[in-house]
Amino acid sequence: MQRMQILTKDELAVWTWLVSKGIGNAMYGLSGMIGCELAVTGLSLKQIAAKDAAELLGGPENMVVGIYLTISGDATGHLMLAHDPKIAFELIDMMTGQPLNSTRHLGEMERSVMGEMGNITGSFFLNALADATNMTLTPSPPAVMIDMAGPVLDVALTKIMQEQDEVLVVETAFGTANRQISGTFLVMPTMEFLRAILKHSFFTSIKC
Amino acid sequence: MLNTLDRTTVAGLGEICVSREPGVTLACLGLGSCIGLCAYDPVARVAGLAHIVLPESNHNESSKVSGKYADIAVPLLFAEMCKHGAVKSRLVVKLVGGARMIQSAGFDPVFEMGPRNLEMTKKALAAEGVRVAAADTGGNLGRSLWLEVRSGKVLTKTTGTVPREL
Repeated sequence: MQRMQILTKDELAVWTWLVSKGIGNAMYGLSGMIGCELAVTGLSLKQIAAKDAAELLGGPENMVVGIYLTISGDATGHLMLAHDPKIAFELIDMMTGQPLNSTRHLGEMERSVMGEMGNITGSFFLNALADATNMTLTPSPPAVMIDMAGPVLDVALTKIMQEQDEVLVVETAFGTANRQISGTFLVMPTMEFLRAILKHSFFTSIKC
Repeated sequence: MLNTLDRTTVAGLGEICVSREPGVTLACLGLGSCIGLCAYDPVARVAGLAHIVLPESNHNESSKVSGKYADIAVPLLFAEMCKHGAVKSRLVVKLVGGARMIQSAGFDPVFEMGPRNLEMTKKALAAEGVRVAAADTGGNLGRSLWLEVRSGKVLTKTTGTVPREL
């Protein structure tokens, strides 16, 4: 098995700092889009077996709306924004100016709204990382899925498992002050992504 | 329906489970592009399940999760079952999963592992001389499956539907 190298203390500190900066920017972008302020309520970095990754989204059979983007450019990786379907529908209502509980399924228009949310989150996150490291990081067009957490995560895990059996994941929970809207933002870098981004971080004195 | 008193053993991504305990049900929960390969010997009452993630190993056999690649998982599952008393020529094989989860334009088809997983699993089965008795594959929705060791009965459930016997 190709066991992932565990990051050194310094590398972990740099990665944590970069991710926090990226996620702060992503929440700023997302807040602007949905018109209310979102805050990070929990952020953790985990190294877990790929087979256990669905537990991050409530277990393999838990229904979620997942917005998936891949990262390309100077490094590759995977981003997944996941919501409980009920909350995803509420977000769509908020963004389209409809009364709450108007949205009950994901049609073409609703998928497009969710995709736009993924675009904003992904590009704001990657812009912050790219700025801090002088790298080119581009998000792919978003893919919106409504299904069980297992199948939704499969799209990213199959690519990751071509290289490794474990996944280094940044799990972010966020919500509004009254926590009515919450979601999970997963950042799943490939080892190549981590190596590239850490190398760039060390060589380009980070603008802390 | 399955006996709810049964103990469920879940095959996670890339795992192989084999059992001949009548009180056990083997399961794959939340299959997307992955394949749940079910095999059952109705005489020896040995059941086996592989949760296949990727089509080809490209001779990279260093992975700890032995059922990860279709080309390795198929012979390995059969070998494990034979160790438990199954006979390959008696195996009833059923396939579940292999969905195409991403329907968005602009995504590289390389991300569509489902059809490739299916193709390679069928190829590996043909190489073993084993035919597929039943399948619930393709489409663009996730699935779960349960294989009852006592009877060899396979139940599948597609997202948003009720379980049905395969």
